[in-house]
Amino acid sequence: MSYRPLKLGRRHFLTGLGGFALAIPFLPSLEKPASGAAAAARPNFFYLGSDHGGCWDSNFFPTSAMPNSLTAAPGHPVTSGPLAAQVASGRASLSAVLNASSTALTSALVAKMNVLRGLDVPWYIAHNTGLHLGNFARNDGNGGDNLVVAALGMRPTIDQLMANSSAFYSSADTATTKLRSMIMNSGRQLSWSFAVPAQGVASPVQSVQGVNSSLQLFNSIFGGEKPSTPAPRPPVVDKILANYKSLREGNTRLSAADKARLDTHIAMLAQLQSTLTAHVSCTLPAKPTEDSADHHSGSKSDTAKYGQLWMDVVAAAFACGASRIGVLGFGDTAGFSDYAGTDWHHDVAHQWYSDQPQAWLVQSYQGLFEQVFVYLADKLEQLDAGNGETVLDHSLLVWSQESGMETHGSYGVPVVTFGGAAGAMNTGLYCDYRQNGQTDAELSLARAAGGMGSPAMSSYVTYPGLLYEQWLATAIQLMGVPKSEFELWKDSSGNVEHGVGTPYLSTDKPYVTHYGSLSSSYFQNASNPLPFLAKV
Amino acid sequence: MINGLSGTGSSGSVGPVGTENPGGGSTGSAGSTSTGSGGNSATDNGLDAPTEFSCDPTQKPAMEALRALTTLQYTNTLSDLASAALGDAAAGTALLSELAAPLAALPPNVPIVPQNSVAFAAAFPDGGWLRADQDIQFSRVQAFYNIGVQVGHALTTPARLGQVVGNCASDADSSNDAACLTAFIQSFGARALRRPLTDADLSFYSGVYGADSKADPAAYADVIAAMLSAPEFLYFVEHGEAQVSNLPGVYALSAFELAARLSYQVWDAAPDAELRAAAADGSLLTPAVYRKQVDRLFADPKAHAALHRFFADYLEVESSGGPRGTGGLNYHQLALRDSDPLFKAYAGSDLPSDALAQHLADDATALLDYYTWTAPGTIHDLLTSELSFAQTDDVAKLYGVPAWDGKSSPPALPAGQRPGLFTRALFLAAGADTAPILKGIYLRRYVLCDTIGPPPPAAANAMVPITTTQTTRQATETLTSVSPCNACHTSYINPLGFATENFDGLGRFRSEQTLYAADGSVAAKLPIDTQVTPHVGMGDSTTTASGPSELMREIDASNKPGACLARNYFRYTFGRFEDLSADGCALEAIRKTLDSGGHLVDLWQAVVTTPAFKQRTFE
Repeated sequence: MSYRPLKLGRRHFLTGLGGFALAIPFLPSLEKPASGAAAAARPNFFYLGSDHGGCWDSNFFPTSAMPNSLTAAPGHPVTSGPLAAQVASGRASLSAVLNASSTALTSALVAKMNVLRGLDVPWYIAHNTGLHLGNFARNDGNGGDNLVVAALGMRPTIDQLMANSSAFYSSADTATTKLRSMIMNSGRQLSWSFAVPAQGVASPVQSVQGVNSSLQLFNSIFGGEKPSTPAPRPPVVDKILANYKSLREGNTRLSAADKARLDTHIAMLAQLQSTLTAHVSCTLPAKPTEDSADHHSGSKSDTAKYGQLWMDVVAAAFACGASRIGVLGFGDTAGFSDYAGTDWHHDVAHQWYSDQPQAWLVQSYQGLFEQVFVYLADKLEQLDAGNGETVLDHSLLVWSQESGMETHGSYGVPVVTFGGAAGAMNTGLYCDYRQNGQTDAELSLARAAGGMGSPAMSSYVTYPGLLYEQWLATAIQLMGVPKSEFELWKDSSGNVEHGVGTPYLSTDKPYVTHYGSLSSSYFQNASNPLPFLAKV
Repeated sequence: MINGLSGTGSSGSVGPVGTENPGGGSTGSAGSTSTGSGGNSATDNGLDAPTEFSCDPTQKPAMEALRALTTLQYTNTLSDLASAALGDAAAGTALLSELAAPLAALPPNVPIVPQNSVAFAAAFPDGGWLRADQDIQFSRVQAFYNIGVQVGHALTTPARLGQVVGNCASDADSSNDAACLTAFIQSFGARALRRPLTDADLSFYSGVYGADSKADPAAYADVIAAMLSAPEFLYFVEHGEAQVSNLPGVYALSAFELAARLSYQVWDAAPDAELRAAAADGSLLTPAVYRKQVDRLFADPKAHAALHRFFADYLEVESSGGPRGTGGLNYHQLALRDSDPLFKAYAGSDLPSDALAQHLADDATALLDYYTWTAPGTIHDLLTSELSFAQTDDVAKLYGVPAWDGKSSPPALPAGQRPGLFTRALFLAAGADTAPILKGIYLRRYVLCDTIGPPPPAAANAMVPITTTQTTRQATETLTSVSPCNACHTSYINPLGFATENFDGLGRFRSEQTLYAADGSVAAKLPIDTQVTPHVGMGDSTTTASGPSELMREIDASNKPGACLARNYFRYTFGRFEDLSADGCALEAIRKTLDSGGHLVDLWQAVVTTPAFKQRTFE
């Protein structure tokens, strides 16, 4: 779409389509400071989730020097070092996967990037859509542990905890917020929320279904914005909301379950009411001429276009403050590869340990990284947020996958980020959280099975590190949401559970050797920010 | 990209340890063999499904929650309402076309399976029940609102206002405006809300219109929009009437509530004029009138179309992971039909077209239609019929028979080859190879309703290879004979699939398996082995079957399929998963219609006559 990046001066009041003047300045950073101090930037969060994983560590992670060291737990040092891309022939490269055109992945952009290694969900989670954002019960039930975790109950994901947090969306934000979260692609249910967020843990957790059309998403955010001619009648949503409340509170017979569902519908109507009365605070972007829904051919160009059309809407929404949360469950990444078949799942993702499928996986993830993730980061970097900062500086963009380097295995799930989380996050770092060399903690299912086809896999081992739950807790706190809003559950002894996700530990030897038990410091510290990342 | 996961691996989605709750469900107690009867006992690695259900009339079903219309029910209702308002039977369809854009924003329902594997089903679609998708989504609420607003505008254009509201809304006489509004609210509202309006309703919708009753199209549009987002339009709002004796907290539905349940169950649409009239005079609550209405609704072609929704759930035709429908054909690269030498050689003159997947689903649905409506049949017919219902040349050619015209007697299949529904190509097609594991899992789960546990770690990474030296059965046995895979595969999964290995990956009958090299050349021809010990009763390790005919006879004799069908139909009907104890009376009432040669159509109809269908649990 022909989105026009906005390069605006401070306190610049915008003129919208049709020449109508908007009374609200472009971005929060342009707001008049209350007492001479700069107003806090409002952060944006975007999550890109891809299927499978299965990319060998050697293909995914950089080989940077790691001069920095901290102690994560007794006997467990963790390291970090600056990210530095090698530039040659117009390509900037951190690894086989993490490389892109040097005109997009500039040194400035690399300096706003992080690569995190050694984050584990410490049991065999197999196929899932719940690892990504913290609803670990959302798994395929395979492997025994999964059923136990599923029985412990579903939990809301960090994007939805943010979306419903007054710490993330303040009352002032509601004037410009058209959609609290942009959930893209209903084929991947990565987002889960309390059905009635105000009821917290008393409410059941349900999926937040995505939309399958970038054009539809655009219209739901910007489509209702019209020149400021007075509406002849107020939106009827107020009356509809009153009708539901009347039924809910009336004296006709209803079950408690009926009332709970009415509560959910009422909460949705209240959100709709807010959406209908909000107005975006920027120049309305031109309506896209293409739709992601029309780009399913599976060709490389179509696959890239599919992702980029979504990213255009995300960038427009972030720039305008119309929404500050986006989640795209991309699905599989076959379209970025040379693989010519249609059974990527079995032919490639499940064969991650063999050389040719691995080459296709690498190719596909590199495509996703460059054509979608870097595309968005670069786009946000071009958007001036005032004070010499860009919209990317105010954002936290995250890419991770369904599995780690072993498809279905959830150790060492790679996390890549862009953006400074509105000043809350250190960037330009490669962080390795593993406890390398720990006896009896060697991890590699492929190795245990004799390498499963590749000499490279036969000898490879890796080690546990820190909990993926701690990463999720880090991310949500970087977005300004306090612990009190995600530490909502207690264990059977009445102790608060830490981190985001279901605390659970497999009885598999490597995990037990390293993580010990649920009372170990790893689990007890799971709500604390990961080493190196948070600015003090 | 997008929905790329094709679901269950060829190495199986089910494995050792019988931890799965067999009854399914959030209700928790379902499935214990102690609550049903007639089933075999639990084994180390699974649970036998019951063959009948215990009815304890003192038990009441679980508390019910406000149930939403499905997307199909919603659009049908919208269309009928517009047709009625515009006085033109075709107007509803035309209006839906006008509203294509906002309707496209209405998310589809998602097939749901029992709670204990809900994640699996939704993440990797593998069947399920659309009516069980009851999550209230913001995107749905927003779409309902936008559609309602758009319908309001569309029905109050200058060209339509007079027809929809009456001339009183468009004439120059303002003295009739107030009466005009009242009449409209009452008439349109009664259809939209599926009951007469109360004084409070009239007052509320008059308030939506505004204090000034002067004829105003925009105000009428608001009234329509408000009605189309009302709880009574989007949900089955039920308050009940008299308490059911001896069941505290359970109340009989009112006549209008019952009319709505019945109509949406049988037609996926709102009650028509005759049904509304029977509700209005209360006669619907009498057994004779209710029976008459049930018969009338089932005799209407709309019932045929609606039942296809159940068939689609039961047959898993929308699965992307199983051996059926598009899932089956996508499973081994249908798109490669023009470029993969192996697949081209394998398919020969039967290279699938893009339409084949739908034709396979139509073929299976036609069998169910035939034994429901044309020649009412039994569960025995379902499992053993040797008639062909393929109405397209491509499927008929796979079966070696002429295409059926859909009217005359269906052609007979070659004797002894292809008994019953589950040997039709929909269940066999998997591309350039068969998928015995997936065939076995389907029969175990959907036809027998048995329970087996999840596969162990890394099972999904293992794939049955296409080799030049082993049959698919041999390759599958090699892969799954090791511990812990063998605990379930050897007894409970593979044999059910091996018994139909005399059909190839396109559903064609064969007596030997031709093995192809990657370049499409023939590498070997090996004999087919369909001899199995199927463990239809999971504890039965002695009964054998020589192939599909004997397997289907044993399945038929087990009495599991009828009970399993009853459970599947219960889920479809009530949009939730059964509790074998609390729902035992309803399940048994449905199931026993198949006793003594009862017809399938009797089962479809029985559910609406159960007390459970006419009552509601409030506490």
